[in-house]
Amino acid sequence: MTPVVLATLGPTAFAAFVWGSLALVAVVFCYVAAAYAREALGAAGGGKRSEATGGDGRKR
Amino acid sequence: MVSTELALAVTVVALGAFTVAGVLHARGRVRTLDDYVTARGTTGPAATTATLVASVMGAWILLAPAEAGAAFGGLPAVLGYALGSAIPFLLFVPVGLRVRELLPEGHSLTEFALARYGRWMYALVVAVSIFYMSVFLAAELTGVAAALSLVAEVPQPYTAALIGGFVLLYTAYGGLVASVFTDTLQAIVILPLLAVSFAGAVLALGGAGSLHAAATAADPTLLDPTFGPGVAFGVYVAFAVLGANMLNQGVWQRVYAARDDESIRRGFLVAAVAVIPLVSLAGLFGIVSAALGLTADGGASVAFFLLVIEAFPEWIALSVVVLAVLLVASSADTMCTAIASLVTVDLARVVDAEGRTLGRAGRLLTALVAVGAAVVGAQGYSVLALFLTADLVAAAVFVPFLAGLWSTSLSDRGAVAASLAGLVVGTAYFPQFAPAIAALPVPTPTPSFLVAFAGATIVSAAATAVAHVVGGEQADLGTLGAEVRRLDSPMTDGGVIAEAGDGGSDGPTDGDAGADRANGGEEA
Repeated sequence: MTPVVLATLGPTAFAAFVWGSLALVAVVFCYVAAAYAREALGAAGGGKRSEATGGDGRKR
Repeated sequence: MVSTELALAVTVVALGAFTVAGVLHARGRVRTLDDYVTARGTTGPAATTATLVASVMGAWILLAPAEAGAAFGGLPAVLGYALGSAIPFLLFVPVGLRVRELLPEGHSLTEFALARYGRWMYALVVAVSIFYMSVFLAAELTGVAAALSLVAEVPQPYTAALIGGFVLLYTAYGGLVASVFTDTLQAIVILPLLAVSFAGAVLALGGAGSLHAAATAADPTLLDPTFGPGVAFGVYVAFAVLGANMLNQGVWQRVYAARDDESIRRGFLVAAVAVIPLVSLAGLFGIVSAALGLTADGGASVAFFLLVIEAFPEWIALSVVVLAVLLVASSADTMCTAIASLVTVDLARVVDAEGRTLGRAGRLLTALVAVGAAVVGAQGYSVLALFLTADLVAAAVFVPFLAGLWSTSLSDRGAVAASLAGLVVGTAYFPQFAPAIAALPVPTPTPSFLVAFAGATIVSAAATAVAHVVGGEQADLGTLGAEVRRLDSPMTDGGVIAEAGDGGSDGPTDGDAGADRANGGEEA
């Protein structure tokens, strides 16, 4: 029996799906790389963990 | 086809580079067992995102979503897989914050099970969690060994031994500290490699328009978002992935590794956003493989790699080899440290051993886990059935388990009973068990993965609600934290002890037994 096709993704929507997904991966990469660089630079400049909080954000 | 020698050389160089990086980073940072198993309070939002993406995104994303797209229902199956992979990260935001609130000094999900419920739920959670993570690890090594064998004819034992060996080197040495650091580096390499591989593949195959034309010409259902079987697959895989990830100690470790609550919120949210396009793109290549007729002979599980061989220039194929190796390494180190940490933390509770002994036990367990997984991975077994079985058990257990974070009246027996109720329903409908069920002298239901996974979750959730209402227990959630202590016993990482404040632990906090066990004679 031939399956019923209700709605096939059009070529424009398909292209948007492909390139949009790739763009989202690129955005996430840029965010992670930039934020991690900031964290690494911050850690190098100000110590890796806060003595006051023990590094977990909670005051002792 | 990539030459075997080139693929092996690239694999060794990539793994060697990350091993050196992991060892150097961990040197001087692992001062206590607590550092080794939790890397407590060390990752900001970006590092949390990176380590989550790298840990959870194993080589399976090059195998399973493509297989879903090729053989289990096209676009809706892929979208279900993508969304299902994101949901656990979203759920971990409230769960992670609650776990840190109730057990600020905790290390593992099993600690919570024991402190909140008791020995029965604890035993169930230990068994399910270790089973799932062991299967995950073996499946990863099996998958990458098969993929490299297909792309470059690398003998499967070589691949499994290389990855298992290198991962063992840096995880046994630096524990979670090394794992999180290499994860972050690997994510920074993996994300552009994935994007470049996928973009290169789309262009090599004639662009998105050509792919669309090929798919619609071959089978219009491949791109039909309402295609029934695909929707059903998308729903049940979401249940399967959700349960398994909520009982993944590797993710729980990263809840404690996060620097603060904001790191959990942003780290897990961005990770959820990140996995959707990654899984979608991977699944897309299964659809394309099916459209091009590459999976007609039953090669759906390696659809992505069939496409690599068929259509890609050698440089893309080589980048896919590196990608697959890094994907596996970043997940394998997570599973090794997670399984070892579970056993080590529990060992610390029941054995009055000193810190150095526990540390050695942790490293020995890491080695055993890595060697065992490499041996299994080299055999070329089909682990799909085991994977689904592990997912089914997790789907039945995770709701009663997590309910204890908020419910004060749910008892140990109530949670176990709710889990078993879900498990019975899931088992009855599970297609893998159909032959055994059919042999029983009872009416047999029609096997269905959808009913099995959704049924296991929904029935266990309903039974949890009933147990919550009728439960007579009044657990004091505010005192759970007192039952869990830091593992502040000193531990050498083979390097130099860090200076105060240099990524080490905070030292003894409350004069507990962990501090009492400190042997004080640690070598540098």
